[in-house]
Amino acid sequence: MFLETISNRFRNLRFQQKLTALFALTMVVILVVNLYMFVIINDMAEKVEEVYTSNVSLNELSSGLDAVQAYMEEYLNTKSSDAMKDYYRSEQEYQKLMEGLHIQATDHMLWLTEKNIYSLSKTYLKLAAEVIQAKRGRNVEKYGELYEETHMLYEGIHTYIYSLNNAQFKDNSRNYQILIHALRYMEWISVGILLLVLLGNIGLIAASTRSVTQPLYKLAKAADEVASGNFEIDKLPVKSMDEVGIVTNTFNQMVENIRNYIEQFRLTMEREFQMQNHLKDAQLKYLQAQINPHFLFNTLNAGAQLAMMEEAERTGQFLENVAEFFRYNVRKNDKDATLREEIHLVDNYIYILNVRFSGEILFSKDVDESLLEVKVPRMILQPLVENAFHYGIRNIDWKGRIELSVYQKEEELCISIWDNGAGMEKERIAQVLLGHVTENKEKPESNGIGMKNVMERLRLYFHNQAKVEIFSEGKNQGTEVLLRIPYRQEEDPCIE
Amino acid sequence: MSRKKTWALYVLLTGIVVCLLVFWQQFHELGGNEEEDYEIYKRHYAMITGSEDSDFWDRVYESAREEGKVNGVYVERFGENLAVEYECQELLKLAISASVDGIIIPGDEEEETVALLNEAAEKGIPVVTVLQDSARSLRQCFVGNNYYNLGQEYAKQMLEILSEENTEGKDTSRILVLMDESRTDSSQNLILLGIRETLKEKLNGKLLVSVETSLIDNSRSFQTEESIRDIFLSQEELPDILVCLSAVHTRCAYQAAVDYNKVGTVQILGYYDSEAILDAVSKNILYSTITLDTVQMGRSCVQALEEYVKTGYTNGYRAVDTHLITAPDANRLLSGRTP
Repeated sequence: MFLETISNRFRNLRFQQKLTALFALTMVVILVVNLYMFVIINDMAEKVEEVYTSNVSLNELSSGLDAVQAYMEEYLNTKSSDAMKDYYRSEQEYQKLMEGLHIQATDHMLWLTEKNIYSLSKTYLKLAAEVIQAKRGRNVEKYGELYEETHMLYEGIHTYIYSLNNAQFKDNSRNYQILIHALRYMEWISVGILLLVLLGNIGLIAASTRSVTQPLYKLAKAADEVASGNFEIDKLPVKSMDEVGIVTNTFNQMVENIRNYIEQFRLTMEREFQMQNHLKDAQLKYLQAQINPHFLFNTLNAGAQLAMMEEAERTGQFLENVAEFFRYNVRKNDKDATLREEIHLVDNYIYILNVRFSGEILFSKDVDESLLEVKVPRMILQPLVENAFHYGIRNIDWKGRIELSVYQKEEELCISIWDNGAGMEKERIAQVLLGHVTENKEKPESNGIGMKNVMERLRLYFHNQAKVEIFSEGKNQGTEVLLRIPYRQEEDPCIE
Repeated sequence: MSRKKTWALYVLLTGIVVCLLVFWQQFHELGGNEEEDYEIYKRHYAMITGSEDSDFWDRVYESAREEGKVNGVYVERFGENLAVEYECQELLKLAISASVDGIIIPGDEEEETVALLNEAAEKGIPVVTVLQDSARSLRQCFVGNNYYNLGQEYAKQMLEILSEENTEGKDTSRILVLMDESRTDSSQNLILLGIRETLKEKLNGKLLVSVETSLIDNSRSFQTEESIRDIFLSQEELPDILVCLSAVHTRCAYQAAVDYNKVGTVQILGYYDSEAILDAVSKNILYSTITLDTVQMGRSCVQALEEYVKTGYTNGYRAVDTHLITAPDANRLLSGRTP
């Protein structure tokens, strides 16, 4: 349908064009209606002006007849050539005026009277011409007789004109009254029509602006939903290709993109989390793998030496300890350990050391038995005890002592390895804790897992919740390494 | 836009357009109705009638106009709407000067009328005289009735009245015939002759009957009525029978009879069949009335002119029927006319 086509075209206009078209349309409608009213009023005014035109014409006709008669009489009186000229001029003028009369036989009474006037006038002019002719020919008797006849006819025509004038005046007055009546009506009708057009325009503007603002309203509502975090909204319908349509399209696209991005982000996070887990595992495995075979070799050497020297029971015990030590490593390579197992490993290690260094080391432990089943990363105590031995008491002149204590303090599990050895400067402590100190690779007895290794593993294992502290009063004042692991009585501190 | 709104918009637009169209039409109906319905005719005939007996002439004219319409001719009641009241002769002059295509006029035998009728004939304008003839003129046709026969018809009525009165033992009866002074043709004389001869023949000297005439002057306005009332007032002995030969005379006579309580004393024979006259007949104020067939009269006039215009000749005389109306007829006619 035509209106549908226009409506579709309107929908695809730009916002500014739409508003411009809308206001232009309403203005054009009002303009057209006003012009229409103007034409009618103009027409009516012309009609009012024309109402008495016919009376004016008849008066002119009457005056024309009078002139012909007057000049004819003047000529008859004076026979002057001026009168003659005037007569012919007036006769011509009268004939011209006669041309405006109706000459057909009709049942329209006014027109029929005009026909009679026309025919009478023709006869009259013919007679008048004969009168003039007779006067010129000095035929006194004839022109006298003809003049009487002409005069009678002149009066007859006058009567006809007068009567017609009266009839037309009556008719015209009636028309005039009707026109005045119509004009009064028209004021009301035009006000009514203008009101109707106004209502129509308001309706049109309301309907059209609604079609323009409705999508905007829907868009705002949808944007509100998105702002409150709900991305699961339906796609907004796009009906027009104006700015609102474009924004709606873009909004739809944006919501879709955000949804996709969130999904991708979630997948990436999941993958990253898995990757970190794997990495942690890998790092642990790698660090555990750093326990190099030097130590095994040396230990086995020591065992062999002992066996050679004594060939006794102690060798067996020693070898048993060594075997246990390595079994622990092999068996527990990929699993966490309990604190009990870790302490047992330390016992094995101390035993091995005491065998190696002829019981130089005094090892004592103060362990809260309730904490023995707490899970910890594997191989964290032995390296620290090893450090205490190597850097603390190995090269001192007095009797070396190492103390291991395990206790709970508030919500932390504390593991302390204390020695009465060489001690540490404060700067050295700070460097060790910051990880700036590299392990002394030249020490062949070291199992390769140093302080830094232990700290990193604890950090990874406890997600930065574990703390490592080193206390020392200074040179030859001994050192305490304190591990503080988060622990709650009712739950396992380990994060699986 | 939804379908509902589209329809609402359609309805609104249509409403505005309809309003504007209706307004336009109303405006034209109010302001521009001078163009009335009218028709154009081939010929234009002038019918000239006197101011007397307007009711009678109205009927004749209507009939002529209807007949004219059928033949494509407009019959004008010439001089009717003029501001000045002209005599028939003056109107005849004007009609000739206005070069109409035909003239219908009640004739008379005056020289001037005859001359004018002849002038019309000379100028090629056919003339039909109606009701009264101008036998000496060159008119093409006369449409009227046989006045002698009309006189005989009146005489028959008189005889009826006289026979009724005779039983009461009256010897002499006076009959007064009111004659129009302005009618110069022979019609009234013919009627009178018809009356006299019939009475003479039928009575054959058995009864003395005097038939008198009274000329009613209508030269001045309202003179007719005064002249007739004079008859009722001044004459010592009123006639037994009063004969009226025109509708106006009839109305004046019966009104005077009623006013002077002479109903029954004077038997009035009327003329024409207007409602008032029929009413008077039905109430026996008038003994009877004789009327001409006005429809036939009007139609015949136009037919005569048409015949002459088309063929160049026509019958010199066309008869019109007369009807006698007595009280029972009047009652019947009156009940027929009132719806």
